[in-house]
This record gives sequence, structure tokens and C-alpha cells, in this order.
Amino acid sequence: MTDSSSHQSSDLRSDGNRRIPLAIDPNFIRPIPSTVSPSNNEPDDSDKTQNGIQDAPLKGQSLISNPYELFGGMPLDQLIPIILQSRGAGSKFADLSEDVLLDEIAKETGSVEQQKSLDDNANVDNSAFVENLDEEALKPQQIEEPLAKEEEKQMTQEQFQQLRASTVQSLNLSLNESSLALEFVSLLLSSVRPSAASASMSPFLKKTVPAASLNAEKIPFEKPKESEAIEKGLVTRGWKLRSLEESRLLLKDTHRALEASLMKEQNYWSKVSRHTSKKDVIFKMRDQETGEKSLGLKYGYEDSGSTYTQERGIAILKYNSIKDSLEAIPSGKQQVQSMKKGIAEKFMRVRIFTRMKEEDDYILSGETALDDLLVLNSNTSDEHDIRRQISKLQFLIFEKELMFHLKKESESLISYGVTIENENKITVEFPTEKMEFEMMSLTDEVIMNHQQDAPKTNDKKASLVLVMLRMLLVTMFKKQIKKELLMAAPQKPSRTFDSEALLLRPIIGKFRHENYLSLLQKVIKAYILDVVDNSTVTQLPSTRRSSSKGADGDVYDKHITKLDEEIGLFDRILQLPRTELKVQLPSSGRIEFGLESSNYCNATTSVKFDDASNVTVFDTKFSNFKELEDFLHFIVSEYVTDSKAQD
Amino acid sequence: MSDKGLLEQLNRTTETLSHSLTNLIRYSSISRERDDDEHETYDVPESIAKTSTAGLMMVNAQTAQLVRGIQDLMVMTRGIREKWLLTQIPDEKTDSQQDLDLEKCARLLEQWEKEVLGKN
Repeated sequence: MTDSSSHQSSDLRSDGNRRIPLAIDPNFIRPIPSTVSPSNNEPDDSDKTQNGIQDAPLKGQSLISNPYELFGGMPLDQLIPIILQSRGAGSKFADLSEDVLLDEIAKETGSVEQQKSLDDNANVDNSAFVENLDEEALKPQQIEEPLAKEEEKQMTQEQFQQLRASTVQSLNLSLNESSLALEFVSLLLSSVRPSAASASMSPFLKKTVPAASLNAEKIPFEKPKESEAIEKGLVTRGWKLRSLEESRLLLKDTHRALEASLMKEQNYWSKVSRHTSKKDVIFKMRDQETGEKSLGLKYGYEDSGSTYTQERGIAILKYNSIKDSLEAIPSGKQQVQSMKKGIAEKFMRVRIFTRMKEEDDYILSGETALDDLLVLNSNTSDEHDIRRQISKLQFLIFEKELMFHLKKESESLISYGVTIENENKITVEFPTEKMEFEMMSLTDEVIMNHQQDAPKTNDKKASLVLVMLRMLLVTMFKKQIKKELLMAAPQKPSRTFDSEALLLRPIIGKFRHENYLSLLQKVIKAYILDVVDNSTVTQLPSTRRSSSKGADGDVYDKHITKLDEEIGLFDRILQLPRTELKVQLPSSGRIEFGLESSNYCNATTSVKFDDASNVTVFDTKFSNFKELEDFLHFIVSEYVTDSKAQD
Repeated sequence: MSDKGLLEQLNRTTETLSHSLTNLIRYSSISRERDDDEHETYDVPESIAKTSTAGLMMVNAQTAQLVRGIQDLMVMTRGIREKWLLTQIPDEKTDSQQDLDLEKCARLLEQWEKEVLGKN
């Protein structure tokens, strides 16, 4: 093949110099390579006359045309075999490289010149047998002729008809041959498997030739030798044994692993079911650290109305297989913090300092006790460890939120003796004492110190203040819940308290009001009681507005009513302080004082003076006690003592 | 997943399990298979290729299937547990908080006020 192709291509070129030197022999376009006979295409002038009409146009058309047109349009899977063919058997496409090709081209151009002259001589000799070969090659060559021709579209009708006829002829021939072959095989098979054979036999054959009339000898099955059989059997058994052994090991390992994880799961879930109640907020979540699916538990108070967003308040329930216990581990960024234990664990401590008389100094007179939750945790780890952990987490986040709101509230109270000393400490000063609200880190030292401390006088007061702070925060939560419940369409309720936080103010307000009241009483005593004989001061029973729950509570469901009741309880603490005093002046009417505050911390005093005939003479307000003193002095001197003098 | 879906999955998995176990036993049998009608009459020893395929590949595959089936079952149990845990509905009667004694609370608050203000 290789020889012929190279021979051919050189021949073609020698034929006429106008023809383009081809990279690939265009004759190989033909899908049936076997039909290409080397001699056929030897294009001598003498040949042309011999081959007659058929050959001449064929050669002219297929060879003059630019083969790149044809090859370029070909899919690679056709083109590559053609290229390989032209390069000869045994060559690999992968071996082709630009350099090799360049080399070859250079060689070829050289050899073409030489062969040209050689061919001229040789052709004379060849022409004799070319004639014979041509006839053989004619038929197959025609088969593929239309392929090339159609591309050209220069074929005459006559040529086409001719080619088609020969194609059909060849097809019929091959069909015939193949059916003959099938008949032969069927007949041969008919002795052994009659049913299968008769299915593929032609009716003619069935009719004319009896089945099983053709026979052949069976090749006897060579029985394997005894030793061979035993050996093979042994090998088979060996393989089986080995695979079974592997299977066994695999199953055993898996069993062990699965059993371990089953135990773990079992423990985990039984603990989860034992220690979580329906009140816990539990949901599926992915552990961010390990990527495992796990259960999250919400210990934050978001669902209870909290608006604290500094911490998500979510813990992952993990099973600690070493301690055989559940652990609630806060998730997210807090993870890092909680590693440094004690820093994240902070609790609120309230301390009360009393001012020493005559000295500008304070001594510690009261301190809140450490919560049991925190103390017990350090030295006992009982069965209900997980509940304790959850409670502790709840406690800690609550304290954080408390401090958060306290700080926010304190910012507006600076003019009333409230100072934020640092991010963990707020102090409130009163005339006789000082209160400190401090977030303490939970360290062993703190725990130890506290247990040793002796009880102090104001301990109870301090803890009462702390308890009230917490309860007020809960009341804030409840208000928020109520607000959300009342919102008809829960379109992502705004997570801010509608009113500002009311934690410190009601409490400070109580103290300040008490101070103002005693101040007022002093003033009254100095300017009225001491001046006017027989005058008496009485504190009027507080006319507190009864919480108006009946008014609008009829529509709501019982949950809201319940919330209302619980919020209403704290009205007593939360409402602006107000005290009314009445000074009865014998024979000169009376003066009514109303001490109230517009923001818990300031104080305004209303004074109303009715004379003996119940005519209101004055009704004014003072926010300054000095002015009040002057005014009282004026009233008493103008109306009371004067009228007395007149008597 | 619905109960029905779970049940179907369970059935499917158990079926696969029993199938692969049967197959495993079949492959482990040493006696030659004679149910193959192609070789009924010939006592052909198994070829090395067939032996290694059947012996190693199939046994391994079946074992792996067995293991996977059991793992599937375990995943299912976990799913069921999660479902159970996460879809608990609070029981109104037993879970509702104890009603507060409002009057008592009010008294306590009053007491708080007195104590804190030192009126006692």
C-alpha cells in the first residue's frame, strides 16, 4: 500500500505540472481502499486512449479538484483513518508531527524530480499489464465513483445512470453471496438445532433440500485432565475463600463501627428525650465546626420577647462519648470566647455602698450573692448536667442582655447621678449611698471570695434590687410579646422595644422620689407646720389608676389576657411615682401638695391652696424646692398668719 | 418524609438486604453451578477470569450492598427520631404554666417597695 501510494502520487505529479502537489493522495478518499489498484491510475497518455470515455473524465475530475475541499469538510474520525492509510500500515497518528512532515515534503520534492525521468521509461513497460488489471479494477472502482462525482456535480445523466446500474449490480451480487452463506450455515446447523436453523433458511432451500442433509464432524470436546481439573478447582476455591474472607472482615469491621455509632446514637437520643422538654426550642442545624448534622437548642430569649441581637443564643446538643453525657455548646462566634472560660461567663453583681458620715468615703454595705446555678456548677456534675448547662447558658445570656439594656438606659440618666464607669460597670449615686451594677467574670476567685464573705446589712436590699431589675426585663419581654401578638399581620415585627427600656429608672425613681418626699416634708414642716399652729399634714392614699385591663381585654384570647395581668402587676413599680400630701390649716383652708415626676428622676411639686371658703386661690407647679419654699413662705405670711391676725 | 414513604423505604431496604444476603451465599457456594443450560452437558471448570470476577467482584459488591442497606436503615431511624423530636406538639393541659396568684404577687411587690425604701 505504501509503495503504491507514494508511487501514485509521484506519478500524478509527473503527469502534469499544473496539478497541485497533494499532501494526501486524493484517491484515498474512497472508503474502500482495496479497490484502488496501483496500475489503474497510472496516467499515461497511452492509457487514456485505452480506458476510453470512462477513465478520462474520472481522472480529470477527481484529480484536478482541490482535495482540501473534500478533506476539510470531513469529520475527523473519517479523515484520520485516511491519513493513516496514506502513510501506510503501522504508522500512528500520534507519531505525526510537524517536523516529520516537513522532512518528508523536502525529501519528496527531491525524489519527484528523479522519478519523473524514471517513470517515463517504466510506463512504457507497464502499459502492457495495465490493460489487464484495468478490467478487474473497473467494477469496484465504479461503486465508489458517485461519491466523488456527486461532489463535482458535473456528471452527465448518462454517466450517472451507468454508475447507478453498476452499483445496484454489485449490491445484488453481495446480497446473493451473503444469503448463500446463510443458507449454508443454516443447513449445516439444521442437524443439530433444527428449530433455529429453519428460522433462517430460505423457503426455497427448505422445499428442495431436506433438513440435516448437510453434515459436518463435531470437534470432540477435549476433556481436561484430572490434575488440571483439580488444580482449577483448587484455584477457584482459593479465590472463593479469599473473597469470602475479605467479605467477612468487611462485614465485621462495619458491624463494629455501626454498632459503636448505634450505641452513640442511642445514648444521644435517649438523653435528648430524657432531658429536653416540649418547652425547649429544638431544631435541626448543621454543626459549623464539624459539618455534622446535629440538633440545635435555643437558649436565648428571642421567642420570649427578647430583642437582644448581640448573641444568637443557640447551642448545639453534642454527645460527649467520654463522659457519656450531652453537652450544650454555644454555636457560632461565641465558640471562641467560651473556650476561654470565665471571660464569657459573666453575671451581674449589685453592690451597695453607704456613705460614711462626716467622711467623703463609702463603705461596702451590701452585695448580691452569687447565683446558686453558677456556684453548684463548679463542683457538682450530677445526672442532670445538661439541664444545668442549659439553665446556665440561659442565665448568662439573660445577664448579658440585662447589662446591655442597662447601659443603654444609663446613657440618658447621666444627669441623675448615673455613670457608666466602663463597659461592665454602672454606678448610681444617691445622697447617702452608692449602687454599683457590675458584670463580674465568673472565676474561681470570685466564687471563693463570696463564700467567705460575712453577711452585711444591705445584702438583702441589693439582691432585691437585682431581682427587680430582672423582673422588669421580663416585663419588657412580655410587653414585646404582647405587641407582636397584637399585630394583625406579623410582618417581621420590628425588634425594638416601642418604649425605651425601663429598668433602672423605676428603681432609681423610687429612691429619688422618697428623697424628694422627705425633702418636701421638711419644707412643709419648716414653713407651715412650725409657723402655723395646729396645722396637720396627712398623706393622701395614693389614687392609683387601677390597671385598665377590663377596658380592652375582652377581645383577646386568654394568652393575651394572661400577659396583660402579668404586665399589669408591675404597673405599681413602673408607673411614675406620685405622692399627695394635704396640709390642713385650722380655719384658713388647706394646702394640697402633689409630688410627681415626669421621667422618674426629676420632681415637680404642685401646690394648691384653698382658703377657708373653699375658693382656690393658687394652683401652681414648682420644679425647684427653693422657689417652693419662697412661695410657701409667701402664702403663709400673706393668707394664713394674716387671717389669724385678723381674728 | 411521610409515614408511607418511610414504610416503603423500609420495605425496599429490607428487600435489598435479603437479596444481597442470598446472592452472597450463592456466590460463596463451592459446588459448581449446573443450572446454566449452556454448559449442561459439559463439565467445564470455571475459568480463572470467571472465578475472580464472581469470587471477588460479586462478593465484594454484595457485601458492600449489605453494609449500605444497614446504613440506610440507621439513617432512617435517625430520621424518625428527628421527626419525633421536632414535631412534638406542646400539650396544653400539662404544659401550661401554673397560674400566678396575682394578689400574692401584688403583695410581694408592695413588700419589695417597702423593704427597698427602708420603710420597715
